[in-house]
Amino acid sequence: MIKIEPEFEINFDILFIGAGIASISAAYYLKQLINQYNQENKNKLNNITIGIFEKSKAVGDHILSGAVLEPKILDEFIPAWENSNIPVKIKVSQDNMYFLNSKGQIPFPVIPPGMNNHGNYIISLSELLKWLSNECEKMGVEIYTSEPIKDLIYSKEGKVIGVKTGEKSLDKEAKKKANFSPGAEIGIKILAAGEGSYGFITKKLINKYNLNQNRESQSYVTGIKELWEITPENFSKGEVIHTFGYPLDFKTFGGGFFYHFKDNLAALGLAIGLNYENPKLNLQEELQKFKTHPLINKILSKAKLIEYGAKTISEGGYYSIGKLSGEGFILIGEGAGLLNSQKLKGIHLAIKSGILAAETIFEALKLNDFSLDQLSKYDQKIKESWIFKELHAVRNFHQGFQKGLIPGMIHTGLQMFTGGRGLINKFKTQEDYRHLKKISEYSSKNKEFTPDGKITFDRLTEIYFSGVKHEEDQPCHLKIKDLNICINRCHEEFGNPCTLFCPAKVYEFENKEGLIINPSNCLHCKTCEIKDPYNIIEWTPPEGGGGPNYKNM
Amino acid sequence: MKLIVCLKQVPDTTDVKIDPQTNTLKREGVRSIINPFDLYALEEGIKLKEKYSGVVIAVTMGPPQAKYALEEALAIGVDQVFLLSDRAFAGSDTLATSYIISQAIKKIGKFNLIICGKQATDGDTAQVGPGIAAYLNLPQITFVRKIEEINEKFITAERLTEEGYDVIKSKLPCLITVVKEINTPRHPSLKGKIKAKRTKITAYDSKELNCDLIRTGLRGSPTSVDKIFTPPVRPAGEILPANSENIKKIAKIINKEIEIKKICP
Ligand SMILES: Cc1cc2nc3c(=O)[nH]c(=O)nc-3n(C[C@H](O)[C@H](O)[C@H](O)COP(=O)(O)OP(=O)(O)OC[C@H]3O[C@@H](n4cnc5c(N)ncnc54)[C@H](O)[C@@H]3O)c2cc1C
Repeated sequence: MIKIEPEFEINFDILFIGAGIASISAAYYLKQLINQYNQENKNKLNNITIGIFEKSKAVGDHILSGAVLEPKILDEFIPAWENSNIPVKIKVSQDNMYFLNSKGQIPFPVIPPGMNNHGNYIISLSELLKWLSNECEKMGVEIYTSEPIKDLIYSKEGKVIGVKTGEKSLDKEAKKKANFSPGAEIGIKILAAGEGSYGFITKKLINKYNLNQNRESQSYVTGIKELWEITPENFSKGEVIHTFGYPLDFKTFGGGFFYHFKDNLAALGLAIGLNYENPKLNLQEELQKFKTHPLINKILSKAKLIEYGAKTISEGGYYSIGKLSGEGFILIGEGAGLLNSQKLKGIHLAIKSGILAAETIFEALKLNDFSLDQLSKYDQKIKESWIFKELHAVRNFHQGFQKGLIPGMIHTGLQMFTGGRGLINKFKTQEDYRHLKKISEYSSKNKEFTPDGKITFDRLTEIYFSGVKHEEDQPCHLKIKDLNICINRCHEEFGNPCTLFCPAKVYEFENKEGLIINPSNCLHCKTCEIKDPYNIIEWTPPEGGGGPNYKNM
Repeated sequence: MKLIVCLKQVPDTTDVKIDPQTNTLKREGVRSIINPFDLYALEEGIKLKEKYSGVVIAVTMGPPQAKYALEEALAIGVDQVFLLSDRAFAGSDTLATSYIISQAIKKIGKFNLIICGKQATDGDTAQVGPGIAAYLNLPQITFVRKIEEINEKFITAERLTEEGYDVIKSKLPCLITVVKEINTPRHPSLKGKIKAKRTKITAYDSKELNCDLIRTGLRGSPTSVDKIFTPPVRPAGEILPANSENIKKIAKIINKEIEIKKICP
């Protein structure tokens, strides 16, 4: 019998979704392996097409990280990095950790070994990505921007054989405008999804192929971040501060950070566990409160806000990582769940997964074998690498905080002495949205907060500093399954928490009009899909090029 | 039909932020884009090609990075591109730029129509299109909002004016500049983007274009910029609810404005 597979007009041998550090590293490493092979062998791997498809207008526009980088990974990746002009130059000079209450701070006498940042570097991940993507393009990797991947194409046997890009110029009612352009179908040999936290396509793959069977559910943290230009008197290049406690209550997982970067720029932010209970919690406001703490407030005197943004982080770790390969595809980076929750670091893991993915793909290309057996070797490589050792050691960290900060600290202490096991090995986790309490069940002590307009701001002021922009006349990319639930049930039971947790004030509730959605403000952080208590919001990629415009986040 | 579209790479003004403290433009990290008006020129060129068959050639003068503008033009659908780049071109004003582009067009040879955007958003001079026409001794129609008819010999076009429009007929070859009413520019297709990425774009220098160096760059530019300043911020307007009292108030304000205009027109 002749097998008839659909033929595609456009084809890529290897297609990466998302120009994040995972995809860019994988493409970079793969291209080097191929080039080296071609130099050494007569039978060459010719005309291998490697494409990276990114939804933002330019590489780095949607990238937000801390970021403190563990440079060990660079030795594996770009051996001569220290002598190159790679933008990894600011070494951590001082490493502080504090517990905060509303008025003061207590320094940690010892920083837990895993959380120590000596020898690490403070970087701008978008700056690093611009540099690396340039190197990739010089080698012939093709990066296509303003091109979200919106769908998958399967063969009759259920193998992934292609992807679809998003259409352009549909109006609000999904009618075609004069310059409508349909999405393109692209045939692939291997798809590598590097979409970062809560990937849209990754989610489809996980569900379709049941990749997370018998794994704990993933849990998330939303990181709200600001970049400031501070006065030279207050600037202390390379200093790193991490905090626990204020403004978060003992029940809420999370912590603050403050990194003195370069050119008087300082990155600060707050990461808040999305398994919080308080239905009235306003995440952006919590960050504002963090800045009013004397420790931070002092440094920000006469400083200037430069950028604002938000992004979720996958914190579930070891027990929530499922199978990472399937028929025609592999998952890389944070979208695969690779993040160290204790350190809040994922860059080194994303790069390592990229390297291992490149090795697997390279083997597949040499053997011309794109079968599941071949791609499954990627899972094996990840398991045998230091990635799993590292994640295993902190397997219970985030989960240990489920019952709050104090039990969390105790668990962490015990985990340190038991190689990560602690009192309870493998905590049961529930999806984050299930943790939210109804208004009637939660006695909230939320005080009214008024921003001062100098150091603290409201959400609408801040989103200007994210540079966010979308084509206004397009279908709403936030799909709500049943608006009646929002207006009738949620309003009453939870008080429409989306209007508070969304860092970009996308959702507003008006008594007359019900729930109003401003999709143009969306920062693509995906908090709403994760935290909405009825689990009825779906974030889908909007028209290509839309989104935040982060420059140095 | 052989169509030439001239385009310019400009800073993305929608990407430029204003420093609220100093009221100046923050240019760091600002992206370059194709001058928005040139996108209409490109679209018109491609539409004509689709209708009458032929080729569209895009020409730009600028630094080596200007090749990204041409890459985008290729992605949108032009067939051939010319990058005019040379240190000797740096600092060219509109006169020198018109000269350099006209030299390139002479090199391209026979053609039917040159299409330019009405002006570039970074200088707003609207001089380069007419300048090219002058150097090539071509008739020109500026501010075209519609091409009514075009054939091998003639073009009939509507030219936007402040009051309405003129219908102008010209013999070909000729140069037109277009306004945004003329069409809706298309998005580059993925196929186009792929083709563009795989096309090598090489630059032509002053020698290859037979340029007289006295007429290029700073030397060839009689224009000098005296001063650049940010215009004062316009104060916000006042919004009054509609009622009879406010009508009087508004009438008073308008009358006062008219008075002022009478004294110092
Ligand atoms: C506030 C904060 C602080 C952090 N601090 C640190 C730190 O100090 N050190 C550290 O090591 N790590 C840190 N991390 C984690 C680290 O940033 C991430 O783990 C890492 O960036 C993950 O890389 P990635 O390539 O997997 O995904 P991402 O960096 O998320 O990149 C994914 C890319 O894919 C694109 N994309 C997504 N979906 C699609 C689609 N369907 N079509 C097209 N494009 C798509 C996105 O636009 C994006 O460009 C921090 C994260 C946050 C949010």
